[in-house]
Order: sequence, then C-alpha cells, then structure tokens
Amino acid sequence: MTAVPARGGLSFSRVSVAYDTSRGPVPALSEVSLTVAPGEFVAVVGPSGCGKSTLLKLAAGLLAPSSGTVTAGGVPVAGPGADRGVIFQDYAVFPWLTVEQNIGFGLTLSANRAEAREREARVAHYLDRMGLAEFRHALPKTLSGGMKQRVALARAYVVRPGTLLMDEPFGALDSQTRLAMHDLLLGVLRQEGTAGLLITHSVEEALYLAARVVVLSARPGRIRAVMEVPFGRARDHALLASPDLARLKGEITALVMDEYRRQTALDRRPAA
Amino acid sequence: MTTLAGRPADAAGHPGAAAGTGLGAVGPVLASFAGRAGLVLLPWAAIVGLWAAAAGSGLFDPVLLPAPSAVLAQALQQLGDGRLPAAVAASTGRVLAGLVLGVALAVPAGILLGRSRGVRRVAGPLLGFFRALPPIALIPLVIVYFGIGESAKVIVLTFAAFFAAVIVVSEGVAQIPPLYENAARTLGATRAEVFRRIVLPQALPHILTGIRVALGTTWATLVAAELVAAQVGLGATIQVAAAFFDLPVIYLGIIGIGAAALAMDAGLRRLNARLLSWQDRRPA
Ligand SMILES: Nc1ncnc2c1ncn2[C@@H]1O[C@H](COP(=O)(O)OP(=O)(O)O)[C@@H](O)[C@H]1O
Ligand SMILES: [Mg+2]
Repeated sequence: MTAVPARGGLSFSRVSVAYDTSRGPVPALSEVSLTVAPGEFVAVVGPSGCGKSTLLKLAAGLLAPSSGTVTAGGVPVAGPGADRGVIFQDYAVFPWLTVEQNIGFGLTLSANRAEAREREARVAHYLDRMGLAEFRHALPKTLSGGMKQRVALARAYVVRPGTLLMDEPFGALDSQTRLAMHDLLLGVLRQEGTAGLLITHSVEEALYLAARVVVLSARPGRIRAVMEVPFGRARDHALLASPDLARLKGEITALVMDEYRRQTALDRRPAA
Repeated sequence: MTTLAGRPADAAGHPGAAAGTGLGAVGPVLASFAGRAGLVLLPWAAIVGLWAAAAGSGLFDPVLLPAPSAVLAQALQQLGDGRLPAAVAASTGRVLAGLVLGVALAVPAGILLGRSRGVRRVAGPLLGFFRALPPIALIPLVIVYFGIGESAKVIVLTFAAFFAAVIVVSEGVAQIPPLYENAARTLGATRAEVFRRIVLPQALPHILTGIRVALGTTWATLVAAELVAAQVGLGATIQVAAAFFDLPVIYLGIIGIGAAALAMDAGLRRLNARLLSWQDRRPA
C-alpha cells in the first residue's frame, strides 16, 4: 500500500492575482503561500467569489500570477500540461465527441503516447466505475449535469496526472453518487500516489477527502486558516458520523461563515 | 393542394419518415407528412394565387404583368428545346465554381482572423472596405484585367462568396469560448492538436453557415456576373429578355435563380444536420 511513490505536488509562494477589467484591476488573491506535498490531497473552502477558481487556474497554468511564483512537481508553471489534470467547474466535456471519446481523449494525444496502448482498457474501466457504460456512445447533449461531471472526472483520471486540480467536481451529483465518487477518488489517490487540490463548497466533503483544509478569506483571497485533518489515509463512511468530524466541521464552517459575511458586505458596497 | 403534397417524389425524398414504422402507423405518418408539406407549400400557393388573380383581374396590362400560365408555358417550351436546362447548368456551374473558390479562401482567412486579435486589427478595416463594394461595380475592372471569358464571371462570383463567408467564419471563430481549448491543453494537447481537434470542430458550424450565406450572395450576384458577355445562363437569359421586353422570360429567369438557390440551400441544410448532430439545438 505504502509502496506507491508519491507524485505531483504544488507550491504557491506569495502569489497575488489582480484581474484587469475596464473598471481597473480587481484583486482576486493576495499573498497566498501554500504547499501541497507530493501525494498530498488538500481541500480549499471559502465564500463564493473569494478566488478559489483563480487559485486553481494558477496551478493549471491557465492564468499567470500578477506577482509571486507557482510551481508544480518542483517546476515553475509555464502553462497547462498533462502532469496536472483539471476538472472544470463547468465540466468542459467536448460536445462533439461521445462519452467514450471524451474519456479517451487524453490518451489519443501525442503527450501521452507512452500510455496510448492502454486506452481501451482504461476507458472501459472508468466507463464501468462511473456507471456510464450504457452511455458510451451517447453525445453530451443527451446527458444530465451529473453524468457530464462524471465524464469530466473520468477524462482526467484516465491520463493519470501527478496532480489533480478539481473545481467543485461533485457539485452536480446526487448524494449517493457523490459518496461513490468520493470513494473512487480516494482509490485513485491511493493507487496512483496522486497529489491534488480540491475546491469545494462542502466542508464535510473537504474533511472526508483531504489531509488538510485551507480556508480562504473574503476577496481578495488570503489564507485565513489551514486545518490538519487527523483521520489518516483510511477513510470510510463511518467517519461521517464521528464526533471528531462534526467538531472540525463546526469550526471550519464558522470560519467560512465569518468570511461569507465579509464577502457579502464587500459585494454590497458600490464599487469605488 | 393535398394531391400535390402527396406526390410520390416528395415521399421518396424522405425515406426515413415512413421506413421502420409499423404498417398501421403508415397512414397517420403519411397524413402528418402531407399536413407538413401542405403547410410548407401554402405561402407559395398564396403567392401564385395572388399573382394569377392580379393578372386575371384585367387591371394590369398583360405585357407588364404576364399570368403565371404564360410563364409556365415559357418554362415548358424552354424545357422542351433545352434552353432552360442549359441555362440552369451554366449558371449553377459558375455559382459552384465561385462558391468553392470563395469559400476555400474564406475558411483559412476567417479562421486566422477569428483566432488572432492582431490579424483582426490589421485586416479588419480592409475587409470592411472591400466587403462594401458591390460586385457589379467591379465588372469593368474585371473585364479590363481578365477579359470576358468564363474566368471573369467566376472571379466576380468568387469575390462575392469570399466576403460573405469570411465575415461569418471570422466572427464565429472569434466567439468560440476558450473552455474546451483549455480543457484539451490540460490533457496535454499541443497547439496543432488543439487546432485540429478542438478549434476545427467548433469552427465547422460557422463554416457551414458561411457557405450558406455565401451561396445566397453568390446567386444574388449571378445576374451581374453574367453581364460579362455570357451567352448562356439564367442571368444572361434575363438580360436578353430585358432587351426584348419579354417579361415571361424575365420571370422565368428570376424563378429559376430562386429555385436553384433554394435547392442548393436545402442540400446544405441536410449536410448541416448530418455534420452537426452533436449541437444542442432547440428542436426545429
Ligand atoms: N476573468 C476575470 N476577469 C475579471 N474578474 C474576474 C475574472 N475571473 C474572476 N474574477 C473575479 O475574481 C474574483 C474571484 O473569482 P473566482 O476565483 O472565480 O472565485 P470563486 O471560484 O472563489 O467563486 C471574483 O470576484 C470574480 O468576480
Ligand atoms: Mg469558482
């Protein structure tokens, strides 16, 4: 079990982001420093609009910081790459490809040529695990939001990235499917030694999946708190009923609500 | 009306409509099909009806407003002596040549414009300038530089097709959101892979729309193009008839252009539906 080498990892060092808009720069992140060790899984919570997706886009290489540095696997991030798999908040499932073609897409690219041989087997594996086998030939326009979300998860898992970057990846799922997808993710992390950054609205989900939970402040996002999750690597559903989890959930929720009130006060104030 | 709608030619055109349904379902399917076809034919019937009524009312000089029957007689005669088919073939050939050339140039140019803001900034005003020029104004120049052969006519049509298509393709491509491109890049796609596998599939709807728009523009330019010493063609037919004040023939030429354009557009719409079945469109 412990034989699997830990892969991936991220580091943000005093990273700030300000978006250029027609009304001047909008600060979205301020002086964020955070390290995700190889094989470590970290969750980020915070009020809506505090900069969570911005943080993820930095790690994905889809956005450059205004100041500070971002590295992935010890290398400065210069753009997107197959070493960092991204599950986008709005799925980004290719509408012109079938479910099967979407899931297999990454392994048809030259960057992943070494693993192309395994494409069929891996696609079949995830079609099965995601409960999508029946829909392998379906086009995305015929799928529900939850099904598209599962396609997006499988599409990222299939290329076995060292780091997974997940932006509210379970938001469209019903609660049973969500639990099943949590366990599937835990399995992937354990088998592949994958590191990851998970953005979520659910404090419970953060605690169930992550080794640490980061609370971001109201915009511009700063690190308000980092909580260690003391449950080790073995997670099962009994944990969800444990008093330890309830206590941590209460503490983190209080922090997030505090920042939520600040954020709404900010949002209500007319822009200068 | 219903006898027209129930023509076997129409039913044969839609084998899918009746195929695969049980025998008992054929009746209602045919009925609903006839109903739909009837609805489509209704405005045409109304136009011809009004036309016939106006021509038959005695209020207009029959030389100025020939009856539909006079135009039909003219059509039958020209079908019989082969003039109409020859005109349709010559014009369709020119339109297709202009369309193919124009679109072949417009697709790469439109994608380049749509993908690059810099190119748009530099070449955009150029497009705006040339797009506004009516092809008919170019004809004297085309004659000077290219003579009065077939190529001169095709160049006028190519010009019209290019500017119609390039604007549609470039605007469409410029509006493709970066979402899917980003997703592909995080899976390891190179620039070439992004272009071929992400940009092109999303450009295709705009290319097909560009072709349809260019098709209309090209047919609309035909009469002007056939001003360049054309002997045979629908536009040439109209011009010759105009010289003799032969209104039934003018009407025949106009209807011929409209019908040919409509037939080609119907073909393109089918191609559209086939190639773009992945699009989440409102049901027609
Ligand atoms: N492309 C952009 N241009 C301008 N402002 C942006 C852009 N993207 C995000 N923002 C702003 O930055 C802030 C943080 O956004 P985001 O990272 O998406 O927040 P979250 O994911 O936490 O809801 C928000 O106030 C949002 O309005
Ligand atoms: Mg977000």
